[in-house]
Parts: sequence; C-alpha cells; structure tokens
Amino acid sequence: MAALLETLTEDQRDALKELMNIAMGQAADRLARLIDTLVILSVPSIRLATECAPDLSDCPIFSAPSAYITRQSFLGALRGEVLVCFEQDGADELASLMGFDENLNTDEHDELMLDVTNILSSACIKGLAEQLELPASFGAPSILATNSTLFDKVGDVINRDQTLILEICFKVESHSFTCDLLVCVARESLPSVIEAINRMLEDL
Amino acid sequence: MAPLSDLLRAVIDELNMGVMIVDPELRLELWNRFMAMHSCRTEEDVQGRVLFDVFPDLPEKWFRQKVRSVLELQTLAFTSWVQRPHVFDFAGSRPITGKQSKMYQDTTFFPILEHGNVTHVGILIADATERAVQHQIMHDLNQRLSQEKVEQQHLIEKLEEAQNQLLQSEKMAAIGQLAAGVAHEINNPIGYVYSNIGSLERSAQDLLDMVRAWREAVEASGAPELVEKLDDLAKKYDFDFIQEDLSDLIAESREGAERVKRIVQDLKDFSHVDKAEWQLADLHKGLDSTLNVVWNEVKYKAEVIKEYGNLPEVECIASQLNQVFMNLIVNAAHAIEERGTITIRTGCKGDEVFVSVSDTGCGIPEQNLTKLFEPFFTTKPVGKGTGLGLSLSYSIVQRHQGRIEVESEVGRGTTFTVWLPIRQPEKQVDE
Repeated sequence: MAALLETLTEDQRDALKELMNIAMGQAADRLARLIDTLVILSVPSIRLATECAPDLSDCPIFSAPSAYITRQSFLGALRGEVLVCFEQDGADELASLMGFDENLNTDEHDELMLDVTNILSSACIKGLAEQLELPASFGAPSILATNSTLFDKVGDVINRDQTLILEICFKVESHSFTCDLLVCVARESLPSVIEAINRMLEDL
Repeated sequence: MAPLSDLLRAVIDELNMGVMIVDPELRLELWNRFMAMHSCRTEEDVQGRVLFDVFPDLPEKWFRQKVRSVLELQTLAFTSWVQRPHVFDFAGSRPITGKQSKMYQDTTFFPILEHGNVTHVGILIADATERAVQHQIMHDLNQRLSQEKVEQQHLIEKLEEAQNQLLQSEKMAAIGQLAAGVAHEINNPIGYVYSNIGSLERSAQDLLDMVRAWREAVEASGAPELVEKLDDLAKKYDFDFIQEDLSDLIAESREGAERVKRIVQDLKDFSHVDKAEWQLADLHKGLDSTLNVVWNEVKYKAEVIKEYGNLPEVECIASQLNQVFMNLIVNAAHAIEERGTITIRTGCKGDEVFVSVSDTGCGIPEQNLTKLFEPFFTTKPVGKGTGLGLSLSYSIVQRHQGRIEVESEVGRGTTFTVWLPIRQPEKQVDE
C-alpha cells in the first residue's frame, strides 16, 4: 500500500484536487439550499500525512490554536474522520440559520457546533463519496477538545498512519463565519480512492 | 409510503428503540410500539398528525431544520443526551431504582429514499438513561477525586509549612540554647566583677578618707616640712585628679557591668529554654528584652518610641511571642532606608490585647500584601532573608488564637498589629 501512495503522480494529485473541487461545489450547493445562505467551500491543500513537515507541529493547520475541535466518523468503503476547528464563539453566528434561538446556553452552544459539524461533514463526505462512487455512512459527531491544537490532540495518531488529509475552508460571508475542516481518509480506504482517480483519468 | 411487510412490522414493533417515520411536513406515518408505550398514545391516535401536535414541547424551529438537513443532504443527523437529554418527554426508564424522572435519549434522523429521492425521514430514539446514569456517577466520582486532590494539595502545603516551622523553631531553639549557654558562662564572672566593684568602691572611698585623715593629722601636728612634703607628693601623684576620677571610674565600671548583667538576663529571658510552655507573662517585659537583644540592628536606623498602654498578664508561650516581636522589630528596621522611627504601641480591647509595631519605612506594595505570610516569600536580597520570619510569626500568632493585621502605604510606612486573646480558649491549651 505504501508503494501505491509513493507513486501518487502529479496527474493523480491534480485529478484528486479536481475531484475534490467538484465534490465541494456540490456540497456548497447543498449547504446553501439547506441554510438559504451563500456558502463557500474551498480546498487549499491535499496531502498525505507523511508529506507534512517532518514535525506535524510545524504545519500551520495543526499548530493553530482552536477554541473547539469537533470530530465525526464516516464509515464504509470510504473510511475516516472529519475534524472541524472552531473559533472562540463556536458556530454561534450560525444559530439562527440552524434553527436555534439567540442567547444560547452552554449545551445549546455545543449542540449547535455538533449540528454544524454534522451538516458540513455530511455534505463534504457525501460529495466526495459520490464522486468516488464509494458508499459512506456516518457516526454521531462529538466534541474532541476545547482550547487546544490539532497537533496536541491527534498529532501522534495521524503521524503513525498513512492518512490522506484534505484541508477544507468553510465560509459564510454574510454571517462572518469561518471554520476549517480536515477530512482525514484512513489508509485502508486509500486503494479505493486511488482506483477511483485512475478510473477518472482513464475516462478523460 | 410503501406498505411494510408483516415481518418488518413485527421487527420494528419489537425493537427496544423508538421508531417514527414522518413526511417532509413532519406528519407521522409510522409509530412503533416503543413510541406507543412511552407516549401513551396508539399509532391510530397519532397517524397523520403533525409531530408538534403530539409533542407540543418539541422546539419546532430547530427540529424542522434538523429534518430539513436530512432531506437536503440525504444523510444522517443526530442529537445526543449530553447536550439535549430529553428530546421527547418520556418518563424515566428505571421507575424503581432510578432517580431520573425523565428518559435520556440519543436520537438519529435518517433519510428514507424512494427512487433516489428522500420522501420521508425516519427518527430513531435510543434510551441512553443507563449511560447517562453511569456518566453521572463517574462525573460525581471525578469531582470528588479532584476535590480530594485539592484537599491533599492543601494538606501537603500545610505539611511543608509545618516542616519549615519546625526547621525554623529548631534553629531558634539552637540559638536560644547557645545564647543561654553563653549567658550562663558570662553570668559567673560578671557576677563577681559586679560585686567586686562594690567592694572596690567602698575600699577606694576608705583609702581616700584615710589619706585625708592623715593629712589633717599632719597639719594638726605643726610640722611645716612634713606638710610641705605631703603637698609635693599630692602634686606628684596628682592626688586631686585621682580623687575625682576614681569615683567616676568606679561608677562607669559599675554601669558597664550592670549593662552586661542586663543583657545576659535578657538573653536568658529571650531564649527561655527552660520555659517553652504556656504561662502568664508580661508582654512589656518580653518587648523590652527583645528590644535589647536586637538593639544593635535597630539603633543606627531608628529611634524607638514606646507607647505602652496598660496590659494584663497574657497567657502565652513567651519565648515564641518574643520571636514574633523580634521579627516585627527587625523587619521594621530593615524597611527604613536612612533613618526613621519605630513606634511600639500596646493596649487592651475587650478580652484581647494588641502589640503594634509601626515604622516610617518604604512600605509594602499592594500586590505583596497577600503574599507576606507565605513561607519563603521575601523581598530582601539573596542571603539576607529566609522568607520564613513572617510566616513563622503568623503561625505562632495563630497558635495563640490571635491574628496579625497589616496596614501599609508605599513610601509612608507599615504597621503590623498582633492581636492576642488574654486567656487561651480551652482547646488550644490542651494541644
């Protein structure tokens, strides 16, 4: 499997990026319809965990402090976890869009973040799974950490594994809301992902 | 909605979970036995009714958005008992042994697709009461543990403090013993020097009287050459000066010896090696002997003003209180940079007495006031202060059921006031 990853060509990488862009376009469209607001999903980077700086803590997304980090599993042929990093107010700016009242208590504040995590990972993973033609199901989201960095929470776990890391930035400009998603695809799903990319390249 | 087979219906009814199916308008289309049991409404009752009619307490806006996310994204949505314990108002599932009056629930919303389109939304309700109870137990346990940890930390701190005190009091005891030993050794020689000075004074007086008598006798005998000889001798030995000086010398020596005697006595009083127990003591005496002991540290820095009030005898361990007074007076002297005054006031209020030591020194910044009595807190240069003086004083005063108050103004000076009960409450004396 390691051999497969090492031979990820420039073409394959471009294809994956292209595929991600299509998937995120669809996801953004779905999210926009759901919350009746324009949203932006961009994919600044795709890489293998092994390609990150020798020390993951040198990687900006891993070392930036987050007020809250949530996680949600996706399971099936496409396996992995989505990590979402929120700023100080969590997803409070999106309360009204998500059907919450103003003046959230602590539990509502947490639940709102979990709800946002759920729709974000649902939309992104669904888009990705459709493009790759792989089925995916979901576990319930949960809060992974507060006032921490991704490196502190998952740095050593990710380092050990050959994980495909997709960085996604989510923005709702009208509500000045932004958060970062990290879609981590587990190594056992990588052959299927690469197979799907190759299929796509052949179709061209 | 497509009809269910009998088998599927039987399975859904036997599930130990709530199963509901609603259409996009949230009208109920399926309701399993779990739901009927816990809501006390049959499926016929609720069929076709909007969910919010059946559960009026359900937050509609939020719930609708949840269902919408399932419809739009064709995927799952969740709620957890952690954030939202009782989505549906069901009675607790442990009616006898449980304390929870309501059921804790995890719910899952899932899309039901027909020909690739979501036509309905299924809602699964899992009873999470058991987990919630376990969680609560763990949570309580955790809280107890962390509380115990805090208490332990506190005890450790106290232990450290006690150890420091022990160290300091052993040091003081050693110094006390040394002082007492030295005092004892000096006591003997100064004793006979002092009594000899008395004899010497009498003898010198006798000698002078005798010389004067001789002279009178010679003058009366009418022998001018003898008188002349005596005058020459008196001149040669400067007899007039000797006569004048001798008594001064003796008086000064006596004063010096007296001072040595007093210092020796003060050292003995101060160390009280033999009297480290509760006794009735005159605090003024303790203050005076302490002042004498530390006089060297104080005399170049400050003028000491005593404003003593009327004090009854106080039940205390005098040698320990002397340590407190010494600390306060020495600190006062150290606080004065050039020259200033130290005022010692005493007085009585109700069944308490106070001893206050005021200086005109540099004062204590506010941020240090709270740390003053912490062990090892010092602002003195390295090697000058141990940071134990005030913490020791504090615990000594506490042992006496008293308190120390501080008033300070930077640049103006500081006043430490020690309040002590005249008589110790029973419990403390037993200890």
